[in-house]
Parts: sequence; structure tokens; C-alpha cells
Amino acid sequence: MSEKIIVRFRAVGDAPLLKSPVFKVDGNKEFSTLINGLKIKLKQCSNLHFYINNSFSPSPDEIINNLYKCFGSGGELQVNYANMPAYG
Amino acid sequence: MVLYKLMYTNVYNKHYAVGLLYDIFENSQNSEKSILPWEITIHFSDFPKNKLLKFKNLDTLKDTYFTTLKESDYMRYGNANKIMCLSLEDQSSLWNSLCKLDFKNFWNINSKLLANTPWLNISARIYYNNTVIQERFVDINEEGITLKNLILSWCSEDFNENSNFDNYRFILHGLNISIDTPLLWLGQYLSYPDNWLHIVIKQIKE
Repeated sequence: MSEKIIVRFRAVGDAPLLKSPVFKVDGNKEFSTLINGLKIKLKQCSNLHFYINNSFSPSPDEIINNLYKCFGSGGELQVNYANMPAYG
Repeated sequence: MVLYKLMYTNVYNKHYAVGLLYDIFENSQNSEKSILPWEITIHFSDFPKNKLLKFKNLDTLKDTYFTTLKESDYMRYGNANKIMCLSLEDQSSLWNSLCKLDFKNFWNINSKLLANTPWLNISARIYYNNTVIQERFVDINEEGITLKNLILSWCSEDFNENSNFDNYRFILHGLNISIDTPLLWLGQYLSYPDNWLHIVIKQIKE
């Protein structure tokens, strides 16, 4: 059974913007799926840093659905991406 | 101390603490199936960079540790302010005491991260049937809440009030934990150094 999760990407600082920042993804996949997907979309493979709710970087092996259940709000999971380390 | 063991075999691309890997793989109830000592295959090429964080130096480990701490902080309090507000001195003292296994100094700082109640949630993960369960658990501050309440809530497909819990082992730090242990107490005193409770459930009888 695959549960679709709505993920909203937000650029931090001077990170490149996405044309459409909202994606529906398979909640059973690992967070690394989002990292790799965004790297392809932005055609940028290095120096990208990912955060949930402007706070922390989840481990690449965390399950997207678990992140959504714990940190999602308003029916979506917010993922911030930056060109350099942010948030201390 | 190696907090994160970066194992990379064909089957296991995870950033798990070595003690957690032990709890997942040990099989003390069945010595024939025991896999100790571990056979570890080391690869020198084809690093799975899409799955694992590459270990560059000790700072990689330190950054990973602190961001994991932030995540657990966010879980308990709804923000990562307790970590963000630690002074640089406290941050380095926390990290250095962890590296040197300095229990007293570690807890001088770490107690600041766990002591304040009420919590919004428990920062816990349950490893059961090859899945990781991690959800919100807002009942954490209620009187008399135990590990059993958490399992009934998170594993409701397999456990209910009538389940025979004796058919299962609930493992934390290599110990079998009673399901009647108060949950908040577990969170404050038996969390891993990243302030997460990593609880493994194993079925021992049908």
C-alpha cells in the first residue's frame, strides 16, 4: 500500500527556485528519494542542504511518511533547501 | 565512540547506531541462528552516495549528531530551540564528553535538553517487522503512561489489550524492557546519546 504525501520545497537564501515547488511522493520511500529527485530537478548535485521546517536535516534513510506524521502541517511536509549550511 | 556505524552492504544502507544494529540482528533466544561475531564486508568502490552520507572527517559525524539531536528536540518541544540556545561552550562540552565517554559532563549538558516537561511528544522509533515506526504521541504527559500504551497506539494492527505480550521481546540497549515501564522515564533516562529511544520488537512465539 503506498500513501501519497504532499511535499512542498522552499528555497532558502540564494538557492535556485523551482517552477512548481509542490510534489506528490510515495510516503513509503526514504528521504534520500527527495534529495536525489531535487538534485535532478535543479541540475545541481553538490552543495545542497536539506531541512525540515527550517530546523533540522533528517537522515537520508528516514521514511517520508514518518517525517510527515511527525513534522507535517496543513496536509503537507515542508522541505527547505539551501546552497550552504543554514540554521546553525 | 562510534555513534553512527556506516555499514554498507548489499542489503543494509542505514545510518544506525551500532548498539541498535546489535539489537536488530542479535538472536540470543536461538543460538543456532546467532550471527555473532558479525561478518562485515568492506567495499572499496561504488560507494552508495545516494543512500549514505559520506564520512569525510570527524566534523561530518559531529554535524550528523547535532542535527539528529535537533530533530529529537523538535519532536519533544515543537522546535529545536533547546539545541540552538546551547552556548558554544556547552555544545563543545557535550560533543567532547560524548567522544571521551565522560558520563558526568555529558549529563551536565544533556539534562538541559531532556529535563523540562511537559513534552509534546515522545522522541522514539520502534523497529518492528523490518519497518520503522515513528509518529506523534501526545499522551506522553498523562499519568501512568507506559511503553505498552505506545505500542498499542503505534502498532495497533498487531497489538491490542488482549495480546499476549509475553510472546514478544521489547529490546533497548540489549536489555529486555518491561512493557509496564513508564514511558516518560524511558525517554529521559534510557534514550541513546542522540536523545531518541530506539526500541526493537521481536516475536519469540507464535
